[in-house]
Amino acid sequence: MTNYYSVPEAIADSLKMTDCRHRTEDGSYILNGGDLVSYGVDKAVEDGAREISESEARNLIKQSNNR
Amino acid sequence: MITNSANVVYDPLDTAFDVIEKGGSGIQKKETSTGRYDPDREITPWVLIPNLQVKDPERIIADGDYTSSLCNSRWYQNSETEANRITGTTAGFTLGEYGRLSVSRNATPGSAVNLLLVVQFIDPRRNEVMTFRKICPMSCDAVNETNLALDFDAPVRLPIVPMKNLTTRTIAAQLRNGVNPVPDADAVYVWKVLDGQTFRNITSTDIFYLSGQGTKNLVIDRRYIDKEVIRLESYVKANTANVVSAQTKVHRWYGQWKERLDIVRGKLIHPGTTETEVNVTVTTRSGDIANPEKYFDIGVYFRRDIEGENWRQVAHSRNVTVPSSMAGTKYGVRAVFGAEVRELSALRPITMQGKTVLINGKTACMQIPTKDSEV
Repeated sequence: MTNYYSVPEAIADSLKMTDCRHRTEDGSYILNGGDLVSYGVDKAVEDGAREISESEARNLIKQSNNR
Repeated sequence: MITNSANVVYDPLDTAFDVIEKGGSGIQKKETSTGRYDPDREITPWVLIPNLQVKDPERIIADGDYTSSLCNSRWYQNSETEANRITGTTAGFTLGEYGRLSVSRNATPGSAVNLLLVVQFIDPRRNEVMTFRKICPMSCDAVNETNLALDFDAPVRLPIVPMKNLTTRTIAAQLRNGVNPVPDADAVYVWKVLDGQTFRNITSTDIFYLSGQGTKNLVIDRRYIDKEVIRLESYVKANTANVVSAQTKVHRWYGQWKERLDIVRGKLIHPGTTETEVNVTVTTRSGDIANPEKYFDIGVYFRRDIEGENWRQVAHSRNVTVPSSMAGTKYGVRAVFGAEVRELSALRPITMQGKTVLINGKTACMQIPTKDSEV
């Protein structure tokens, strides 16, 4: 199954994914494991990405949409 | 006058038009047992970006990327009709500039959708409209990769040793599909207890139950358990038929122990000896048990070594001091002390006429020896 990550803006920006991924209230972006392949999942985690569950991802999107 | 004319002719442009997929592909999977999509486009959308590369054989316009010159872009679902056109209000789709489309809708298994893009470009040399079409299939495969299993942190037999200074025991579980934990929101956990021949749901009326019904962590109060078979049944909400289970037999267990009776004072009874003190100790392989009367029913008995004299209980504790005169004054007659140590049951509700006795709203309980007295 796909894993989801809350990723700092700098990483999302370097992957050119900021225009096609949800931005959360804290300014990070929700990416999936496939998005991070070229960056490296381990490196992304070292650089501040955090694996999140599907339900947490939905909640973050819901919160940012309600703003 | 006769005339002739020369025509200005430009060879057609060499164009390469494509739609670049970003953030996934048109193919999804849906796990039928959990109802989850992989990937879930509501979380990470699939983005389709038109791209136009142009090469002018006449070298009038510069070669390169002309995506930003695309115009009149229209997206359709399945066929190029107005009814099927994707607009700004079509749920699950977001239109962007230069024909860009963001798909945040999951496909339905078994009903593929062809997303059709029609977009135009005006050749600035010939003022000629060039129309490009591209079909992007979007499909979803229903898969059943269910391999449910339960992680259950209790053995088949779970002994509860009364002497351990613990009140509660948490039995933790985790439903897994393969190696992946099933998210709590998708999983159902039902804790049951064997009642007669069948299992029934554990409720707040079960005296050993503290919390956790409906969750993956059951908390029980060890003090109230003599022997209970506890079973967990779990499944994913999307497939209630596929139930996995695990169970444990929780039982009160004292392990190996041995009692000892010592006459600590007054073992030799002289005319001036006034008191005899007797002490009962209970020992395990770990050493003497502190306060054994908390876990054992201890009776101290006495009789003189005279034929026909019966035992009589002199104490219901581990330590007793009796008058040495109980032995009498007859030389050679021995004063004999005995101890009976019996394991205690768990706390059991007291009932009267079939009804549980309550004190200040709380169930009154008692412990009783687990076997009859031999004295």
